[in-house]
Amino acid sequence: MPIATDDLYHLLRRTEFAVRPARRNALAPLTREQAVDNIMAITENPAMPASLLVPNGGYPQYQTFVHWWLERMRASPRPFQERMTAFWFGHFTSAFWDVGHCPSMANQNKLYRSLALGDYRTLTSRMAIEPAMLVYLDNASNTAAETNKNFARELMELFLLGVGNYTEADVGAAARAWAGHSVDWNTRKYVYRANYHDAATATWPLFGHTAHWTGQRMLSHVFHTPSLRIIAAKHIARKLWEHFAYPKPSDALVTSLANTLIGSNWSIKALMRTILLHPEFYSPAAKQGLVRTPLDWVVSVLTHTSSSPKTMNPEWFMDGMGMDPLNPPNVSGWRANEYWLNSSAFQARASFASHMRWKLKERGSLTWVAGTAVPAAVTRMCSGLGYAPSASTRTAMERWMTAQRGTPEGWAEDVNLTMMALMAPEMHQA
Amino acid sequence: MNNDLTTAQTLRLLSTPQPVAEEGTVEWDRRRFLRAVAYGLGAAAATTAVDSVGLVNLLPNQLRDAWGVTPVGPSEGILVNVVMYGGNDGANTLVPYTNRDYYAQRGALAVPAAKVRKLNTTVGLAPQLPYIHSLYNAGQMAIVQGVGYANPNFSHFSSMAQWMRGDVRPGSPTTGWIGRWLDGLGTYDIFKAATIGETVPLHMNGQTRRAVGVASKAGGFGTDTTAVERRLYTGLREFSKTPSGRGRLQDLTAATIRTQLDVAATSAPVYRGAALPEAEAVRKMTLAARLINANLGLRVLDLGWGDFDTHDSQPKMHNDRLLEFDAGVKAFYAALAPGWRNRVTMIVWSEFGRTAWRNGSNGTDHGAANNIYLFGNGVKGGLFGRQPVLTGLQRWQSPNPTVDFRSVFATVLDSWLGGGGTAVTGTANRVANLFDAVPKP
Repeated sequence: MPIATDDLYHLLRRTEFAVRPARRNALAPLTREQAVDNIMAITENPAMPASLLVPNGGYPQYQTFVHWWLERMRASPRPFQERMTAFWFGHFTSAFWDVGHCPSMANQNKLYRSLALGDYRTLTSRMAIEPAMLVYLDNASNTAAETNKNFARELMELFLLGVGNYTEADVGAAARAWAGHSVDWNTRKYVYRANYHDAATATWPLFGHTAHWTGQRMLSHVFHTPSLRIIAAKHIARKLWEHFAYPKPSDALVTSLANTLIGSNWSIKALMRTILLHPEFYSPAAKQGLVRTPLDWVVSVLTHTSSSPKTMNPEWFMDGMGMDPLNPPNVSGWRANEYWLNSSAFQARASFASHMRWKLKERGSLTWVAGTAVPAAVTRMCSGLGYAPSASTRTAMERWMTAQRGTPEGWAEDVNLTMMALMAPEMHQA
Repeated sequence: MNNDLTTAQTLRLLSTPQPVAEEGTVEWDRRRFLRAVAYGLGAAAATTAVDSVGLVNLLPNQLRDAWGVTPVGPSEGILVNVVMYGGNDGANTLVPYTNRDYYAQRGALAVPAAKVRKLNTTVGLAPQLPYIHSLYNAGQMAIVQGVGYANPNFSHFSSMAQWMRGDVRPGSPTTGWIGRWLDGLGTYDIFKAATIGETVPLHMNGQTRRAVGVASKAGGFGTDTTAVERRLYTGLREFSKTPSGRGRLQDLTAATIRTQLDVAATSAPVYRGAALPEAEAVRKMTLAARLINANLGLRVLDLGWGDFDTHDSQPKMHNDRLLEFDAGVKAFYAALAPGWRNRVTMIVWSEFGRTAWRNGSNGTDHGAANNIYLFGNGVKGGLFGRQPVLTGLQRWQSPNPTVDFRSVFATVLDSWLGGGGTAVTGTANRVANLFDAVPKP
């Protein structure tokens, strides 16, 4: 049985940012399972632009990075790859301006992409020694003699286990264990500094026994000890569910997802497949469960209007929306839903929509509006943006357009219909 | 008035079953509408507002009379809440310049005694704070020392959540202390509390009420006065006219679009005039003062900046933050109209302090027992609480706090915002004599 249209739209919005007609048509005849497998069938391993791999490029280099990544989100054959890459960047965070070295950020981005659906254990141990992370959370200068606990704390709290699952003494022990993983400050390449590390044995309260702990040994212990690995698995399974479906899933659901992850040898792909095929993923709670983040919204706008980020410069507006895509506000990344719904963030969304309306007019994309009957124009504009308006949205748009049509300012009809449709509440739902 | 029923239905729909933080579902009140007209918003937008507040037959002279209403009552206090995000180094802000332990533990990071702006024989302000020092000397600054909470959590996220929540009970926080104070206000509209910035932090969220976000930069959408754009604003506002039937979040989104337009139109004048400073803290504090001057009815202005998380390269980083702090407070008082000075208190806090010891990267790690700084004509100038004891601390240890942060918040709520301290924070403790005056015209 082919996937229901409503389910397909929901699935594509959550996994590919938007409903591209070509993708919709390709997936419509497939079953739900086939559609999910198609979305996850990633074969590309794109090269980063060479210009990102040299240091000190300043703001133009930052722009190149944003443009390249947003273009991948909009136009790559399987945008799910970028959706997952962005998820990992929001989880194992770093910030472009803090790290201050574009090649490090590009390499981290590449790592998250290449392991986006890979082995979670590998991803965790690789991200920990990625130069961007070593610099961002200061482990590069963490020494056993004078520990810097920044990375050790966030590893336990935000990345791996969650608050309440370790003690302050564990943070201290973890900081000692990770000491030594550093960078060469000239080349910003990874370097292991043995003299930073204390080879003596230590007792780790959380693990309950004495050993010579290293960072990788700590991770391996977490992933092998049943009482710890379920905590780690639940931590990441909950976060993925909340990112793709809805906030605050039941503990039973999270536990079953965690067991899927452990049972599949920590395959992120297996976990994501379970999430995307879960009946609960197609429930009304899930379909009405997430507001588009600024990144989701911007990419959906670019996708549906066939606009490249390079010509539309969304990076001028995204910081104001609360989401500079390369600079999370802090190490805990971005939150969801109500976090985005405030007047100043929406002022920035409206500013970008306003920028877009004039760009689209200039490009000649709006000539069809003049002379089209009001209800038909509203229908076409909304469906072009990937949604069917609710009765209240349709009424508001038709009333506005009817009033507008009776005025001397006919030139504003197409641009402001675009504005109405880009800002309609439907457009901001994931 | 027929639109009110629908609005009430929308409100109810949005309020249940979950406690929803809902900005913008409250209609413009009469005063707000009048002000919008005064700012030149004019006929088209006014039509919608007229629909909702039933002011169809207002005559020009009645409008003029109504403008005379004072939105903030003459004896109502205004609070400016400032957060130093990342964990400000309290010991290098208020320096214990005769404490040998401080110099031993801090090493090269310690502020030399000769440079300290001495307040008494034991502590003094950092050299970067000349303006703040002058406020202290004028009796307009209170410093509460040794503030924190028992069994401190050293994660930014958790500790910030504790402070924002204004509460230390376990469980995940859903509301914040200023938000719960808003919940308890008898009369309410969307202009009671505002955060200057792109996101509204937890402390500004209540069970049913929430601060609005005011952009920290000028030129936003919603301030055009041409007929064609005003018509568009009317259209956009109508998205929230009836429930969509597509869930709580979609309706909340529609309400946010409407609020955005209301806030943009109403706050437009504060971006005009002298150019806004570039530095984030200075810009936001200048805007806070202008928003108070604009007399929109705001009781709480919230803002924050950072990054104060000085794990490494502390000398330059902390120097910059302190210079911004001083310049921001100075800009605030320079921009604040004199008539407001007796009605405004500013409180400045951070989610935790730093370790007493310097770490291995020329920085400090997360610690406890920090200072809270208060400014204003109503506060009793001077030092409160006591300096943390540093003797015997190991590298990883922090001094113990001696004042519960909730008692400071509760004191501010009771003494400056008209009450609610115990209900909001759950503590009956107060900081005695922190204020020596009540808000007055």
